[in-house]
Amino acid sequence: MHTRYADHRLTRIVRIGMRLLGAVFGGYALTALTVASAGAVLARLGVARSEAVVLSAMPGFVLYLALLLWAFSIKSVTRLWLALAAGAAASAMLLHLVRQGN
Amino acid sequence: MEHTFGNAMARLHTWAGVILGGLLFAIFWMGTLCVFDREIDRWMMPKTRLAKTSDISLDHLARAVASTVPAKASQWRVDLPTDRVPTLRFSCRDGAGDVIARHLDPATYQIIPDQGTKAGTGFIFPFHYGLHLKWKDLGKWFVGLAAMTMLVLLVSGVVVHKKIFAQFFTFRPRKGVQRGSLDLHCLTGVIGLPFHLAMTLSGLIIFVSFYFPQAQWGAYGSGEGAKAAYTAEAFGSFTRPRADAPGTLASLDAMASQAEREWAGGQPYFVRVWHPGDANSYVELRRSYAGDITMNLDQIYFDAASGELLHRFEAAAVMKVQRFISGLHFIQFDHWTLRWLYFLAGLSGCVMIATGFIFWLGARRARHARKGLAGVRVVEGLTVGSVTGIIVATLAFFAANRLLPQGTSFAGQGRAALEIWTFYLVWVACFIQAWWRPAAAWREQAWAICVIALACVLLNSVTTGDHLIRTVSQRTWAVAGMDAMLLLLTLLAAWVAIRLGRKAVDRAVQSGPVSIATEVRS
Repeated sequence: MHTRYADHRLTRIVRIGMRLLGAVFGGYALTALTVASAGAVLARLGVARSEAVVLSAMPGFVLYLALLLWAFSIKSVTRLWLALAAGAAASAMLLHLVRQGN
Repeated sequence: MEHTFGNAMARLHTWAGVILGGLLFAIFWMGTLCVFDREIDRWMMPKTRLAKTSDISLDHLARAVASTVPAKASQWRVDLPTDRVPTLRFSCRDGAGDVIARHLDPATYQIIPDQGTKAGTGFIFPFHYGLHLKWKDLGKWFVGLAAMTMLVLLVSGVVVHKKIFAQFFTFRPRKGVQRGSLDLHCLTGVIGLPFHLAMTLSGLIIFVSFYFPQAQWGAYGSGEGAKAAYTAEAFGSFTRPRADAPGTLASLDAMASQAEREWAGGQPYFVRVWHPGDANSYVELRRSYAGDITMNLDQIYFDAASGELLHRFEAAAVMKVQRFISGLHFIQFDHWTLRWLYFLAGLSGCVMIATGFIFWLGARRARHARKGLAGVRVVEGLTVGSVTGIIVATLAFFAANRLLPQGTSFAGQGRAALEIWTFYLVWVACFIQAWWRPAAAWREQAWAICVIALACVLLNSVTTGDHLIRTVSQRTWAVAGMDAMLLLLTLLAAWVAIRLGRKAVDRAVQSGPVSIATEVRS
């Protein structure tokens, strides 16, 4: 009885920890990747390079905010991580395809 | 608790607030003081309480500072007087890259003796955005995390307090601390919501290139060269290497006149001479934004020897938007009414954070005591230390400034460092007291605020002779305003301390815990 309670408590702490890590670091990583690839896309579309970077970076904070709120409200932590990974993969792919320079 | 969006936001609001509220209060408090950082500078540097002079000759200035500029200096720079800063601020980098900074009297171009303080612009301002934790820029990252948390708190707060407009008109100060603090939390949160959102987001956007250091990867590629190219194209820059042959300096006043023509009447706010005395020396002028919210990046470079225009830069459209948003946060434009409104809105943010803590404590005090949980005790210490503690520490910083004689040093620390040590030691002492005797800490620290704030006013009067009657009659508004605010704080702290004293007696007579936490959760 007592051990089952302890187990439950441990799972809860791990779940909260994974949610926190996913929200703060996962959310930031996805935002940073999206900012970089959005800058590349804008530059490809003809926006001056420095303008493309600033234009994509400023809304980054709003995107990060939305990701944080979503990460704390979604029920399943597994789905949170899967969605973050899928988003990061898609963003990295886009960055790889359109980036300029080396 | 059932897993709904509302419940998730309520939990998030509670826990994010409790965990990072202390840090947020420190950033808000320091940010609020930064609204008047130049005025705090005048108060803490008595020899810079001078009248403004608008007739500055840059050529005269260049001759006056020539002897102060070390051989092989990479640059020297002078910031011109403004409505808020009457002195000329001279700074230069010697060959080793160390910075020398001095204030000059605008009437005589003579160096004002070092005032031995970091004051508002050197201590309070960097604390606001970097916490003075320079290792790996950790302080800036903590402030960024706190700012994102603030945005999360604002959004989740709106979700939690659904009946926001009803609460906006609700304030029940006589119904006990618990209801009063909740009402005040909602009131300051709602009135200040646009301000808090704008300030937090603009604070982050100021450091957009810092918080997204890889933003240019896609458009420029990775590596140092790409980053440098991005910075030069976005912020503007001009460099050329030394010739390692002696050179001359043409008239700076003539260059300033030409810059004013180029800027259609815009005035320079600083002049910088790169590679002074070298044949490849060049002069940089930046355009003032005293009359504009946008902190423009307009810059002009001249050849030092011939005065020929070398390069001109103006930010592009998106960057101008970034500079406008930055300007909203920095308030470097001259507008006293707005400046005071920023100050009041900043204070309302401090009240919002403090009352949030007090509500959290009140809602759990009885339950934690019954179950023997340590939560309330830990958070109460954190709250007192973060709220009244940082105010006591700030006042101790001001008092130390008036008490330490010029040239003091102790254990290898100069006067400016000793002031800062006073701040941190007093702050730590406040935390220790708050955890040690939580029941009395609020009241005792309120008395400490009352006494030290009054002492600051008296010390300023005794050590500089600038008492309120004199500063008001001589229109030294920076010093008069600081003294007036300190006196107001004295009265406010005394009122709070007396009221808390009465509460303590009441609580001893009738102990009946009230919990209205259910009202918010439902």
